[in-house]
Amino acid sequence: MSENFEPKILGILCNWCSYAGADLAGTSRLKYPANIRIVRVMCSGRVEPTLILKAFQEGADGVLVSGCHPGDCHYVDGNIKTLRRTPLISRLLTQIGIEPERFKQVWVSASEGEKFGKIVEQMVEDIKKIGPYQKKTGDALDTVAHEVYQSTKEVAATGEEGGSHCG
Amino acid sequence: MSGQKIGVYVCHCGSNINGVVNCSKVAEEAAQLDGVVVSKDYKYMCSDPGQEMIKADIKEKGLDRVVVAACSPRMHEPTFRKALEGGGLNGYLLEMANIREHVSWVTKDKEEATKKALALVKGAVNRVKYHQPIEEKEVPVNDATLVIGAGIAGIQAALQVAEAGHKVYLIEKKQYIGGNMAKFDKTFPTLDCAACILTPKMVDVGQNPNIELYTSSEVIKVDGYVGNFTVTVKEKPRYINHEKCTGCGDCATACIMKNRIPHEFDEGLSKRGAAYIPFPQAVPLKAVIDDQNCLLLTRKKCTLACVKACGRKAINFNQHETIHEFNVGSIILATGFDLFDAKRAPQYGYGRYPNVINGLQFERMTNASGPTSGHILLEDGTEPKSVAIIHCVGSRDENYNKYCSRVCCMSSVKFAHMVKDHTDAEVYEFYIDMRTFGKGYEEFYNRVQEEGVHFIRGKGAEVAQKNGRLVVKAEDTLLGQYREIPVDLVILNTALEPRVDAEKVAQTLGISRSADGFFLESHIKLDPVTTTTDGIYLAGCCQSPKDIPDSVAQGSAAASQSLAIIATGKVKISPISASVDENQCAGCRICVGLCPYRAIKLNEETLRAEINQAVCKGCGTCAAACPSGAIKVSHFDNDQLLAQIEGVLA
Amino acid sequence: MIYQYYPGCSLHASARDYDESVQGVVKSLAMELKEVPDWNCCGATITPSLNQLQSQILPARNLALAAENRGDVVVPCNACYMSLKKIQYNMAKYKVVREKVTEIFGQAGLRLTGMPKVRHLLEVILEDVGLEKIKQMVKKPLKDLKVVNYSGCQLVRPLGFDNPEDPQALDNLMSALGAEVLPFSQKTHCCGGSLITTQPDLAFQMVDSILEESRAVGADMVVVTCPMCQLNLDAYQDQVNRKFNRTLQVPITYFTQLMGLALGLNKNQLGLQRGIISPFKALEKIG
Repeated sequence: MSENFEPKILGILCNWCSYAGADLAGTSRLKYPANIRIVRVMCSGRVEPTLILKAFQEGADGVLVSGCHPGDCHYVDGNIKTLRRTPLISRLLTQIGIEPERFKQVWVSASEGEKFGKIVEQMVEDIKKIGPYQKKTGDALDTVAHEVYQSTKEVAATGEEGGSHCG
Repeated sequence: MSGQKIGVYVCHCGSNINGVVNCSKVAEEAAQLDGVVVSKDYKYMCSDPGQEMIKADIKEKGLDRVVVAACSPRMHEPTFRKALEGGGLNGYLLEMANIREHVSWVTKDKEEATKKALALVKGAVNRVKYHQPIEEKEVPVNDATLVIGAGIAGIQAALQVAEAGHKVYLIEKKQYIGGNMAKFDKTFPTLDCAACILTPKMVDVGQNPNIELYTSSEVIKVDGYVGNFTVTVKEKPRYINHEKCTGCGDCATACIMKNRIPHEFDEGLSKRGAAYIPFPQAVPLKAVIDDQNCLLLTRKKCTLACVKACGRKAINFNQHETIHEFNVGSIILATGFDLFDAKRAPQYGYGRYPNVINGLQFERMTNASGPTSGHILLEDGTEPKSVAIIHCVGSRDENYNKYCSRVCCMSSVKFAHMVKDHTDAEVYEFYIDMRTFGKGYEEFYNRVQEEGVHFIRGKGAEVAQKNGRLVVKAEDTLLGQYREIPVDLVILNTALEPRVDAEKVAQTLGISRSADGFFLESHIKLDPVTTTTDGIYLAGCCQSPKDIPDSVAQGSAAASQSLAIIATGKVKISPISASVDENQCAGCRICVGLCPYRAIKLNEETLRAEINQAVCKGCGTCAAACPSGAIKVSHFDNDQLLAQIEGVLA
Repeated sequence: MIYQYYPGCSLHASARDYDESVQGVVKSLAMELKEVPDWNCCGATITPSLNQLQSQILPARNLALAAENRGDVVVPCNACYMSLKKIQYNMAKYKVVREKVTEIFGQAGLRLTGMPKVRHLLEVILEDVGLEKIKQMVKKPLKDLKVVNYSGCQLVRPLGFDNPEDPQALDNLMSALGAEVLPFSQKTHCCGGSLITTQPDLAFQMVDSILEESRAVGADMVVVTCPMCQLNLDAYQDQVNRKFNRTLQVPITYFTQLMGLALGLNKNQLGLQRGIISPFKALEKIG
């Protein structure tokens, strides 16, 4: 591992709480590592596995997803869906050989600028310890990402009806 | 995507961005990106010349997409959308790269910052290629307004909207209106009697035909969006028929629980019964039955003395909770503050020594209609010879609240004046810093200094009892000495805190709170009245501690926000929404259960999901869960997000 | 439960009564205390003002020794408790302290292999045994005994375990044992500590205000959790009386001594006879 390894982290933040929290870190002039690149969605409930897999495909060393605290969601309970989706995504990532430390899901409110900065700092530190994400032999990322993407197309093409395969 | 003409504009924001990010380098490198035909950096993109630059380039160079790398889109996205529209482009063909809040303000290293800024610009350029024009939806505005909380801020807002000729639903949790101000005696700095200036407003509220007042009521649900909220209100039974009750107080005199329950309005300094009149100037002036203490309601056993005493037969124990539903265009939140419980700071002996009281108790004591008929008295009924006033109890203290409660310095000075005015006592004020910032405030402070009040610069550290007398201990930082001052009465000027149910209210209304627990404004300086949810406005102490003039000003400001959207008659609402591609939908119904607004239904004939555009708010949760990728979210679709991810990580 | 016991110097010298009662009580509670091998002075309140480095190394060495074994470190003395907690805090927070300590340890062939949890004996008794169980074990309730509980300052601040303005632990324990707990505003006021030798005038004032309030509220005795507080309040009471023209005779007892009595231990095993102001007259109330 290179001594100067600077991880690339993708942050996917909800518009109402976490993006505003990251903005507050800015207005408060709090300094945190420049390793994170933030993409805005309206709700953390919008974050589907495809976006996370895409990040790793594009060379991210970590992905951070952040939404409003439970109970505070701008869309009633979108963040609860995030909460339920998180363990599934973690499991998927583990199965395809991506260390669990590389994916983190947190809650940051619009007033938690300081907390946001600390989370980024910690995540950069943690990922520096495990090193850059390298697609290893037998790493199934590309295959899985491709499958996830293709399956949507296939389902569309077959035009199956009424939830027959959804068990 | 070929043939697109993208313009990139990198803002210096004075030195805010350019001081850390090398803006011209970012612009130069952005010029090399695929599809970019113009790339410029400029001192202030949001200024007139900045916006004109964009408009001119759209017209002259035929731009069809624009990226502005500047501050947060939460700040200036609307500004630049308008600029695009001014140039003849749809506003949604804009993408902003947030290189101020997310880059220059949070990064130390200039090179790192420039690199990060460029990455965000690449992401934005990638994303904007997939943007589609979107028409903003305009919806008609309901011209009624909901005001929650009938303290001075809520009253001011309600009256102003009502006087402009529009309907107001005023909701108050207590049985009477007036809030905390109704308990005050005099107000600083003019020493106006609080009742004299508040009572006429309270009466106006009761009489204004445009105001529908609901006391003993709470908002339990808010649906909808700006212009068209549906609000559900729960009104608790009061067991008194308001049509019949004249507020004579015969039931209060008859109640067998009389003089046994601490009276909240007098802050526990007097006792009342289970049936009582809250206070002489109460609006509405009707009897109240306290269901926590009424023997009939708690133990089902009572002589019913109140029922017998009531000549108008106004008492009805068969009343039940009522649920009301209102449609309103905007909501003004004015729920006020709770006073810091001084028992949480045991070093001051509140609750242990009877002659240690808080500020509101002192207000009641000096109030002519209060428990001591306006006399400042000790527990034993005598007048104090020496009084201490301690500032910042629970404020400016790491252990309780870090913030300054803003009103206590002035109210403490007022208390000192009142003591001097009513008694011959010596007065000692223990302060950390004296903050008398308002109009006429410093002058009032000077006046009270001249009245012979002792101002001791040092936080009161402890109140103890020594030789039968109270002793206030403090370090006098001007003398550089530790002092113990014996007194008879101690007034703790306690912090103003967020209401204990502020979290619940924030969740019901879908708004945020700041770190101190008060409701969060959209911008602390430029937009202190609106919340981040369109159509919900803040007034008074629920936003932050403030005095009466400021509460009234904010009440008026909130009212004018409401009136402004009523005057326009229509509001723009976010056009971001989800839609189903019928050809891709497999009809699995996963999305149906996920939508918090029940906007998705399965069409029984086609067996495809359908999204009601009027109800959808565009969160995108359904799109994330759709196994066949049939749901598209406008402006936040996969193509756009994936392209942006590719860009920022490149 | 097995714990590591760090008695501190006092309990082997001036506060033998505390140590004796601690041993009796922990046996009744089925707690096993194993003394930290080769422990040294914690540095107390004096070293920090004389030699910063020493005041860090002394407690750190004890932690390094304790880290070799399993179990939380139980400390009966408030001053030791705070010294040990403080060095833990400073090492966790300040890299320079951490590095300096490691460097000096290296020279002495010591290694800090872990960070054992440091807990005051009162904390352990309340949290691990619990009030409910203690109530059931009481054989001789301290009925009619009026006490004021003097937690002292270092038990609760800056890193202590109870409410720093109005600690509750000792009150709850004494009530559970059947004593009548009187309100006491001096609970966490400083006893003067080592100032009693360097600035006696100041320290005497501090001792006096504690003793005087205990008299004013009508206490039979002052209950303490720290050998330093006990020494100042007990051994200097006579001098304080003379200075302020008082005739106080307030016994200062350790909470473990009263606890031992309530649990039915023989009063001769609890070191009660070692107090300078004898508690026996006051204890006649409980027979």
